[in-house]
Amino acid sequence: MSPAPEHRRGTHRADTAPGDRASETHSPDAPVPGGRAPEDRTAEAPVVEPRATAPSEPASLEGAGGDGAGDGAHVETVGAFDIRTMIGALIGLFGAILTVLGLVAFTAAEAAKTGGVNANLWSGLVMLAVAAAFLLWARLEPIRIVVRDNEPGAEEPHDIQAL
Amino acid sequence: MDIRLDATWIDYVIVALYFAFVLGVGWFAKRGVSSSIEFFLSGRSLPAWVTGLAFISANLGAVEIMGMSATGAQYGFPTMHYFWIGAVPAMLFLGVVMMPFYYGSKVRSVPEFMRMRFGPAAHLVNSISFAVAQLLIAGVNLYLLASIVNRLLGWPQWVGLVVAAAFVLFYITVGGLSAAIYNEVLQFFVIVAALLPLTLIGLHRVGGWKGLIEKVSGDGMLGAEQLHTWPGQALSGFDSPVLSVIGIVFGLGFVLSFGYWTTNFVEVQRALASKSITAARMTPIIGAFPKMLIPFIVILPGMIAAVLVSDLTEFKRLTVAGDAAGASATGVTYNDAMLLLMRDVLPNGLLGVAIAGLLAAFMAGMAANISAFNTVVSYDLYQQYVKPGQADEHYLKAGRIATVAACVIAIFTALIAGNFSNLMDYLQTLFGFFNAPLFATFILGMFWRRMTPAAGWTGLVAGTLSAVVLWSSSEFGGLFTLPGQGLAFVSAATAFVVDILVSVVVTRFTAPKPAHELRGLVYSETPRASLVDPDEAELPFYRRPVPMAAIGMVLVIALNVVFA
Repeated sequence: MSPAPEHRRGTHRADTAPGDRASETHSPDAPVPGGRAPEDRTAEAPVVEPRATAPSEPASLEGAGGDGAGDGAHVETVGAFDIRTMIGALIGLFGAILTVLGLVAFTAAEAAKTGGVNANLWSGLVMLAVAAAFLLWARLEPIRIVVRDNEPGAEEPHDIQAL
Repeated sequence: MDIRLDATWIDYVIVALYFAFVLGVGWFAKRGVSSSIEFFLSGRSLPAWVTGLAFISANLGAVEIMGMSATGAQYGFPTMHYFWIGAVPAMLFLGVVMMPFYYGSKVRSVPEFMRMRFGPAAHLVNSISFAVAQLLIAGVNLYLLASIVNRLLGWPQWVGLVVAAAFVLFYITVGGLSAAIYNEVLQFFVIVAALLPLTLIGLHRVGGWKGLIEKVSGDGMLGAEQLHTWPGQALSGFDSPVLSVIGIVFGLGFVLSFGYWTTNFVEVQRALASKSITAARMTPIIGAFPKMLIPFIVILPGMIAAVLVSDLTEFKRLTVAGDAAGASATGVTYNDAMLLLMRDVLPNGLLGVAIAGLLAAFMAGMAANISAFNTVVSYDLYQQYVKPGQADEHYLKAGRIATVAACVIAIFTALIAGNFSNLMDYLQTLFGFFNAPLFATFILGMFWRRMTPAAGWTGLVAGTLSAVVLWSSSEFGGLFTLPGQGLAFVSAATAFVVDILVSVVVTRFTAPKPAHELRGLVYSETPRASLVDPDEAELPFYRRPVPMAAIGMVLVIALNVVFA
């Protein structure tokens, strides 16, 4: 059982009741031009997950009294910083390094340590496969988020929720 | 002490790459350039698999990796109890029972709960003991960090401690903690990527599973007892199998385990970052499944090291024979089990991955301890009781001083940690002092409306003191001895029982808070509507808490039976 109990003062949670969903104002396939993130990449593959139909609910209070357009709400695709992409990138990089090592640097001394198995090569290949799986998953089922600006002076500049 | 890991430049490159990723994300996060990062870090609406993995990864640190392998080397299979009895049931309980309450209540951190439920006295006691615990545990992480530095570069211990402490300070300042969720999930995969090959190669070297069984049964020390999880007398320290089972199930399985998982708000906060009550409940339940399998990559390496690495075998033989001087002359302890196996079995390349994983885990662990210390000292102690009403910058500055002070103090608490040949003994003891009474007070306070503020703090103090007194009477006074981790289990159970008794007695003589002040803090005062998710019934069974928890329970019982 690991240590480090921690209570994070910085994690501000808006007291949204469970199930509270901001109403969706734009089609997910047409992000508002001028949207922010440079890594924004809409997936080419057909969207696998069903389109979320938000029940009509009162507009979020952060919008300036209106129903979306006034607070810059738009839908983005989580791109390069999708956690699956990061996992795929890091493990893929490690996998590539290990595979190369396994191919060129497998010496007799190493074989003695591992009992004859080319550990770097095998581990490297498995890591590459796992990385590929994550990158594929991230590409086929992208996470979409709704970003809207908060009023100035709010704790966070944007309100971001999953679609 | 001459254990060196023969790392080459490629290993260092791999380690550097890992930190570049993590600090890079942290750097981007601090600059606020990407809403994708904000989405993952602001803690809203994350998919359950991410929160589930972060949940167990936040827990997969120094203790799991080094402590479990050390205990595996020392006792063998009974170590599995820490997972199958000491974690999984509590995690399932957390998901099914406690999470709806946390989600629907006002509780966001344990000290905050203490303050709102019981008032300033309990809050003060809790904050102080929490701060002290963080310093002690940070010392453990720092000690382990320094030992890797020592193994890699051969620098003397005190140099390693100072360098490691300085690096953690750098890591905190540059923003390593800002990327927490990324860091944790990445860490999990790197650790598995390192430990799985380590275990497989190790098994290959000892002749496969059969070979391991043979070698362990024939080791001439604890022998085949190490191949059975029950009754686990070597672990619990009780000779009687009945007492041993009771000690493990009640001391570890209930008090220590439930005490940890229900009051550890790092874990709970991971779950609270989910889309809905159902996703929050699913987080620990999803996490329970990989948790069941982790023992195979942390405990087995310890057991393999004990039969494969001659230094360690020698140390074990001398320790079991009671020859303390001879044992320390070998220059290794159980804590070195994992590192020794890495040295003897991993080629360069995989070695780099393993070192990256270990460094990541210890560094993140220590940084989290320091950060928690910082928060509690600046806000719960300094702002509440010493100098309230100042501007924000004042407290930020206090926080920075607290951070640096904590890193320095950790150097000294690391030296304390170094005295224990098996860190698990030390850590379980600490948990017994701090977590057990906290759990008792927390659980009583959550379910018993009538419990008074006075009972809150007196219970905590009494529980902690009783555990400390009991432990000291054995450790220093020699009144009785309980080998293994029996002393820690008994201290924890004592703290729990004393806390409850004192709380009940004090409640009889003091006045409770009025019911309206307890809304959202006591189960019976929390509105039913916020505890239930109306959409849950339509989900498939593998996304629903109760069915999946039932499956988890069946699996963990099966594991107990198979390895009994």
